[in-house]
Amino acid sequence: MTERLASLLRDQAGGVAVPDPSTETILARGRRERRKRRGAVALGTAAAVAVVGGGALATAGLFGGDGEPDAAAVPDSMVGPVFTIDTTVYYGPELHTAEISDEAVKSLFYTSAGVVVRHGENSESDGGGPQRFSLVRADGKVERLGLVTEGTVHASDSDQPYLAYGENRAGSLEVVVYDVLADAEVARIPVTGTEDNWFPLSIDGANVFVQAGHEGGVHVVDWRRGEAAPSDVLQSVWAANGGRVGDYVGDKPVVRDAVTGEVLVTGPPVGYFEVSPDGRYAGLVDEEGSRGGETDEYRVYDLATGDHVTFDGYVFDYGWTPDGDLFQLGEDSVTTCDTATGECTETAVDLPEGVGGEAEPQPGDMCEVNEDGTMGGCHVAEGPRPPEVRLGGRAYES
Amino acid sequence: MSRPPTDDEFAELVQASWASLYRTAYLMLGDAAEAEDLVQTALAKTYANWRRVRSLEAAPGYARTTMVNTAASWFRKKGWRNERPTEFLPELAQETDPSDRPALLDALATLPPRQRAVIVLRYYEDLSVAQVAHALGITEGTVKSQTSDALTRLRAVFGDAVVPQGATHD
Repeated sequence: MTERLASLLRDQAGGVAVPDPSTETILARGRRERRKRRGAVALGTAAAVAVVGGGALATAGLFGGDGEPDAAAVPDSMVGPVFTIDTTVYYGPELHTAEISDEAVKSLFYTSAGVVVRHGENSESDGGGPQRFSLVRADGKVERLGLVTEGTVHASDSDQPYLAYGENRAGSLEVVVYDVLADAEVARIPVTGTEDNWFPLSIDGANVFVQAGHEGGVHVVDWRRGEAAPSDVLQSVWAANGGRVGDYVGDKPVVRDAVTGEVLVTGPPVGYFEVSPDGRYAGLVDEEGSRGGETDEYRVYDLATGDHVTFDGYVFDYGWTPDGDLFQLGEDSVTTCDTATGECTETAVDLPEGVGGEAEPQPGDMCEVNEDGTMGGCHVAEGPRPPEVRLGGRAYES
Repeated sequence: MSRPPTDDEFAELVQASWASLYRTAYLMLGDAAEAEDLVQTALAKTYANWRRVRSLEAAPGYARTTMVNTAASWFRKKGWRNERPTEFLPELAQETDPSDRPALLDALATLPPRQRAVIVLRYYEDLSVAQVAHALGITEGTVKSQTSDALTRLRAVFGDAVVPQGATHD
């Protein structure tokens, strides 16, 4: 009954004068957007944000933390490759399995209580409805947690039993620390006023490093003391582990000591550093590097010595073990790489068909496109599809 | 292809998808500069978010979804709603000829922004109620009520020949 209206709309659209696209402008905006997702606003801006809960952290320039790499307090039986294929969790050197009772897995978090699995109705990381959580203990027992969030970025510390996240409550950014052993919220600290709902963060010891939305700058929260203050040093909050934090100096990615702020490693002016779960290593994520058909490579630095080793392959195909090694999945194999030596060992494993191939499963928000460019749908196609894979130690939020 | 696109590959993507995205954006927003900004934003986000896009083949669909999501977030911002909507249609002595290009665009301009987007997505992009709800982040019930209200407004301008009574295309 509305064919005439549809026809008129098509006619009108066909008559629209379409300007030429400026690819250079779009690329520049894309690069800025990518950088913005990883690094907060420039220094100085953050310091002007009103302090809530005390200014000691900012005025003293302290980052907190104990300054020592974490002891990888993840249970020993889970220290090895940790990943999920659809809703099956594989963990530890023996690759034991556990089953998550939900539609799809979104991401994995290392804690001292075991592996926390974020799951829900689909595998989307940044949206896609409720985010539910289960704790996989060392003995394989799976406990559904009472925590449910939506559209939220989470972080964990591998030597504590906590998840952290930020949420906007009545116009205030509040950092929440959730005890996965007790299945209860243990801290809620007001940070600053905000109109955003996007708060990337990391938790390391007593500190939570949180970005207060797109323009709100980085804040350091001592969640045990209930204090929060804007950081006058940090530009980025994504990677803090074991007393080390990934940051920027100018346009160069760096890794800082989380107590002194000392720069331990400086990378080339591309990408960013991700810090291993135990804080001993840092991988340089160069999303633009080695493109154009050349071999991908992933450079990993030893933060104690500054030396680095290089691994073949695309960075996002590698996961981190809780003790700072890398691993990746192949077709019926798991390859574990020693980040100290660069040596990799491949182990044959019977994995479901479709794992390790080029055909990556698509997130649920991927739309099908018709030949005329219109959108055919935004739902995951019915029928057989490649298994969804999530790797431990890898952030899937953006 | 799991690696990020080269500049040349991304340029090809932009060239291939720009016109289609722009037309949808223009119909939704009714302003050339805003439409261009919206499409640029969507493509820039697609580039920045390549980890989730994963392949050049999936990128156009991803960009289109991102564009609609971005438009929806613009509609929710303070100021946009106050600047854009025209709550009352102009008094018309007789039905307007819809084949007159400005007439349809003018009529669309009288709709509140989200209502306009619903109409464009349903009848130009031919999305289902569920798909529009998903894309705009609203309930299916809201899509249906917004559709009904918008069609009533458009019927007042163009008459039953263009928008028949009872037409919802569910």
